[in-house]
Amino acid sequence: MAKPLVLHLLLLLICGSALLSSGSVIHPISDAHRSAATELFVPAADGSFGSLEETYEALRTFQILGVDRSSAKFEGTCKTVSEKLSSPTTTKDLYHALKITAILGCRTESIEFDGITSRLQTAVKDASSLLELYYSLGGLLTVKEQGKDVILSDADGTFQAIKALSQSDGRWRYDKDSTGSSAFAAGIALEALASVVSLAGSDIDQSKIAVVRKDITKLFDRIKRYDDGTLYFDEKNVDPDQYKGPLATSASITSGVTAFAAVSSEKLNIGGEKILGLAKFFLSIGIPGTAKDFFYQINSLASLENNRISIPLVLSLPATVLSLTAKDQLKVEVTTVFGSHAPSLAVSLLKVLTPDSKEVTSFEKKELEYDPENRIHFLDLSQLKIDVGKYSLIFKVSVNDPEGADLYATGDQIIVTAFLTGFIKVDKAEIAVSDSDAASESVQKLDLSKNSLISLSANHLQKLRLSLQLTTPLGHSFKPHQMVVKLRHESKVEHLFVPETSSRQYKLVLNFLGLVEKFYYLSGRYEIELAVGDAVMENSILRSIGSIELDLPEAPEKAAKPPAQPVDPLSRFGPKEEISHIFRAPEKRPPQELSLGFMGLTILPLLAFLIGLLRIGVNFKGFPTSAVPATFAILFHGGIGAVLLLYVLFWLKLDLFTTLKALGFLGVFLLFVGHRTLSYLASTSAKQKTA
Amino acid sequence: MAKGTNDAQLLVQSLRKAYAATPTSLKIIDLYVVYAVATALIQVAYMAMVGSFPFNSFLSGVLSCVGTAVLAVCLRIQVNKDNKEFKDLPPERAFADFVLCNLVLHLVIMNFLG
Repeated sequence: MAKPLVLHLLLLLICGSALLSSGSVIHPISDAHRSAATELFVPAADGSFGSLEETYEALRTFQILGVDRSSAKFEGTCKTVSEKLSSPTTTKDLYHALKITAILGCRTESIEFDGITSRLQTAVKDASSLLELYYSLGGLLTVKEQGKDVILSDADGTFQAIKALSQSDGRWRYDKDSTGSSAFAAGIALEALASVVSLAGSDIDQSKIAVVRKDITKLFDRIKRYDDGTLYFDEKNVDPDQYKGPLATSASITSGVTAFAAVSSEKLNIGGEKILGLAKFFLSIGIPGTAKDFFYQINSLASLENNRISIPLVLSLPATVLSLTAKDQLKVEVTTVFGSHAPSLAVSLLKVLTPDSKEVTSFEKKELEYDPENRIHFLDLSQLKIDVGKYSLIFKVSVNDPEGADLYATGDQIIVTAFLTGFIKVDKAEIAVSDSDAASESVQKLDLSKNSLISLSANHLQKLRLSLQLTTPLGHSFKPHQMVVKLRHESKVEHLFVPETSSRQYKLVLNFLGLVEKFYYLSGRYEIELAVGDAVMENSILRSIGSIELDLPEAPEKAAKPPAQPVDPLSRFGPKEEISHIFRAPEKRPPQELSLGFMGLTILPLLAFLIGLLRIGVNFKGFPTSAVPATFAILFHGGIGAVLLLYVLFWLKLDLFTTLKALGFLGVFLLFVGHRTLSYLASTSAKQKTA
Repeated sequence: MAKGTNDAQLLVQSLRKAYAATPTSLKIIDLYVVYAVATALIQVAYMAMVGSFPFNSFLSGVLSCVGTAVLAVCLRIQVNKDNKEFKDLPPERAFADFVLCNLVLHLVIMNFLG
């Protein structure tokens, strides 16, 4: 009997862990989206949001979200748009202008619909690319929805023209000449085909529609999948400038497929699971950051909300942190993607898994009760009989009406991560100081709920014991993430200890004899601080329980010094100590009189020299007597004197460059003069010798 | 001992007589050399007394005396008629060299004097 059960459980576990790893948080579109939309789409003064396309996207988003569009600003938009409609513009602009007119409900009396219709019909006939066909057909459809009579001539031919651009893998090309195909184009093509079918009525051959249904199935084979069941489309092998990104591609295909499903008489062969996966993808974006992304998200979700394949229903939890102590209820909401009411459902909680994917065996499958007033399914946590911790809750949603089960897509199993928190009781907290032989103990009871502080004293031969028990609300023993005891000395040196756990108790024993070195031999008062913390513990503890006077022996010579405590980092910018500058003592100079005396003494040899010269009998006989040589001789002596005078000036105040300049001039002069004088003297002495 | 002093006196007298025979121009140069060296010695004595604090000044003073003495000795060699080596060199040329070298020496000295 047990074996098949075990096998069944095993299979379930494997499937469970394979299908679902982590539940991403999904919430339906809410008021947060509405306020974000008004912040993101900000109209200019004339009521436009940029180009016609951007204006259309903004107004469509406002229309879907129910944001007020009746302000006076948009009067101006109506006017500009009707002007656009009367002037010759591109098909794309016509399409957007018509759409804006429809959304704002502008007055259409002044618009010439016949002219527009004929322009669009010509465009359909002459269209060469997929986008041209899309815009012109969309425009015609909008005109028809305004109540005007629109005929599409050659609907078959148009259908064929669009179909001709399809590829065998379900994607579409943009026009006949381009070689690359893309999934984004497929979405556009499907929407265009849907427009043709709406415009033509029953003229279209049903077999053609069946072929397109097959194309859609092929297209959905390309869908990509995340682990938690989210599905999306992305492009592969396209040009970089054609690549639109997963959001745009998925949005385009969603619009196209839902539009085609609306006009196809037979149901499309796409499972509700795929629709739900796409809805999850769009919702998991949260609130997009750009206007384009916002439009894509909201427009796609609007198409999914009312599509003919199956309507996705989303399960969300308003609160994922539930308190056992406060007796919170587990509340679950199941709504459409826009938060609107779902049909009558049954929500059941199938399994509860712990973070390491093990099933909580004490839990049995329970169905949640329904509160019709608040439209919430709820369950009392006490019924679950689960202790505090982090859990993955696995839900299943089933529609009560068996016919409706086809209409709605609820998904298979939905996982949500939830935290169950609670008040952790601290029992039997004791602190004691005992002698090393454990003979006597002075035990003090700790009451951590009160703010009392204990004071103890101990010497290095004794031991300190701290013990306590932690109990969860359901009475089991609790193992917190963090439990640390800190001893801090007066000099701010800290030591951390982690108590050990044994059966139900946490115990810390400090044997001071072994810790003397670790404490750096610092005696004195130590503050004891206790920290107990955990994610699910509502009453985490971080406080000082008291102090202990420790008497430790003196530090020996070689003991390690306690580490330097961090200095206030700003103190380095304070004033520094004064520096007294020491100047070099000046050299000792001799007394003034001595120096002057010796200067006089130096002159003496000069006098002696002059007297000696006279004694020898110098004469000026050799001095030239005739005029010209005499002048040169005088100039020669004068020149030498000038040079010596220049040197004295150089020593007194001139610099080398000036001196050298002057010397240059004087030197040249002296050379010339000296040469004349000396050659004259030489010639006279030569004459004397020969004579 | 008396013979020793007698010999010294005889030596000095003979030297004096020989010296008296030298031409006047050479005597002038000799006197100049003696003057330069005496000035140098006085400067060294001063430095010995008060220390060599502005050492550059001391050096430049002493070297100017010594340098000019050396140049004068060169002049004496070149001007001496008994010197066979410089027979063809006119004494005026030697004197011009002496003046030029002295001027350059004194420029350097004045720069180094500080």
